[in-house]
Amino acid sequence: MAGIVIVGAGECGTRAAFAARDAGYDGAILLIAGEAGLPYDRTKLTKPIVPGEAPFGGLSALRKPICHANQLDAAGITLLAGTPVGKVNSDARQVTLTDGRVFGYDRLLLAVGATARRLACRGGDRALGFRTIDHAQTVFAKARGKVVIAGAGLIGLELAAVLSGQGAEVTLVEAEALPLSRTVPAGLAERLMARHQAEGVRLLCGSEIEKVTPGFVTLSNGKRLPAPSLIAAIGVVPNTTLGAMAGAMIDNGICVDAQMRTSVPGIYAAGDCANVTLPNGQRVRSETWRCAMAQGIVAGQVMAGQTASYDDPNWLWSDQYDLTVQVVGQVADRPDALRQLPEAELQFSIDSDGALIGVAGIGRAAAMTKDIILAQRLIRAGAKVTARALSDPAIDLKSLLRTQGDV
Amino acid sequence: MPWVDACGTDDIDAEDLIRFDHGGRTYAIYRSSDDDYFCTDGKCTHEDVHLEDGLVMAYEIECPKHNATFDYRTGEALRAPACVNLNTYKVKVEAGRVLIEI
Repeated sequence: MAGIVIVGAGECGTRAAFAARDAGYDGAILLIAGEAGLPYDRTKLTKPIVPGEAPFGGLSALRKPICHANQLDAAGITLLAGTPVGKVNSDARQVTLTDGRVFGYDRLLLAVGATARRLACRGGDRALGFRTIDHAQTVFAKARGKVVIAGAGLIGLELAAVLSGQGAEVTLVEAEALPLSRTVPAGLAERLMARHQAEGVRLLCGSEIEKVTPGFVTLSNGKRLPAPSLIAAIGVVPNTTLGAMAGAMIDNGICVDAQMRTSVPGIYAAGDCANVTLPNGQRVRSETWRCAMAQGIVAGQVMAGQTASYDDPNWLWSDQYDLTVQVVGQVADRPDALRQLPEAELQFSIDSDGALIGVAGIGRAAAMTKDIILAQRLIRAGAKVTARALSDPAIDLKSLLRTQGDV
Repeated sequence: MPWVDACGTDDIDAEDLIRFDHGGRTYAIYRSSDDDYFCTDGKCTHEDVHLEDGLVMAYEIECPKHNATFDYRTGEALRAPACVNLNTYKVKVEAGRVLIEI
């Protein structure tokens, strides 16, 4: 049995399987998951079930399936869950599971994701990671009282909001001067930081953990903090081992083109593990849910023989307390236009040709979603816009889309 | 099933929608740009998110959270992550009121 083999059953791999079938592929589709059980939505891991009121009714991790067994059956997708793939042989077109089982493939998708980075300092392996449902269950069972989180990225901040909401005393330790400096414009990051501080979260920026001892961390400035619970949320490393074994080009991820093709015939990669070169030469390695889904769909369609290309503007969404942050496309610290809505603010970036290339928003989700969706469409259309029109809340962004013609 | 008076025809902008709650359930009522009215379930079939803050363009509603898209005339799921159609309900307009059969 050859057909399509997909390694990794997160958002990306699962979407790819369904997309290949939807695109008319009639061969076998095998979806291999290293973790047991049905594919689940990782974005829900920072949104646990809260059974009672604070303090600590006991949080429990939410495992939300991406699809159910009957949907897999109906689509003729075989899920093999609980055993990771250990080897890829691209000459023989075979993958070998760690338990020795061998499967042949015509087309292979590596949707193998990324691994949470470990704290590299002395004692750093005492820190809890946060990437899988098992991690989430451990963190929500153990993290209470004084909690130190290394890293004020999206995961660190979302966990800080959830845990402090349950009465934990949270300290975030961030190496950069501001949280989210890689992904969110500085003005928005400052407002998020202020909100966390108002909720009682302590944020130590420009600071690193140098040593972990039982119950304590020592910072780079020599200061020692009690840390009965320590969580490492310092980003992820793309999983490239199988790609390298297959002979694919590796550079900060498995290198692919906009059709998700690696340098090895018949092998594709998509999602967190993939470093995509777009037709304009720009390279994208994204770790967002949206990107995993969109690239997975492209990979599935291409493997099924359809023409498809990844050209989706990147998009991230984070909920912290009752604040939502969204970023689409490319944004700069200094926005070109500001749009003040009753309960949200949007910041737009325009390129030198006058085309909208990015938007970042902060505020109440409901207040900004329509404009964010419209901005996504304007960005995808390469729409020419003026700062004046974007800044005027009386001007409906829909009218800007209409003037672009057929999009 | 009974007809329920949901709103006035002018309570919804053209090419937009409103939320309507009734009998412990929630619905979305749409007005197209040519002033036809439609009704679907209120929440996206992908996740527990109300469509009221979504975007209506032509005959499509795009969910505000994950960009799933439906044809609100038929309820058909048009784009991932949704793969289950929305339920639709009959609508009629009488004397400036929008009635839905639920």
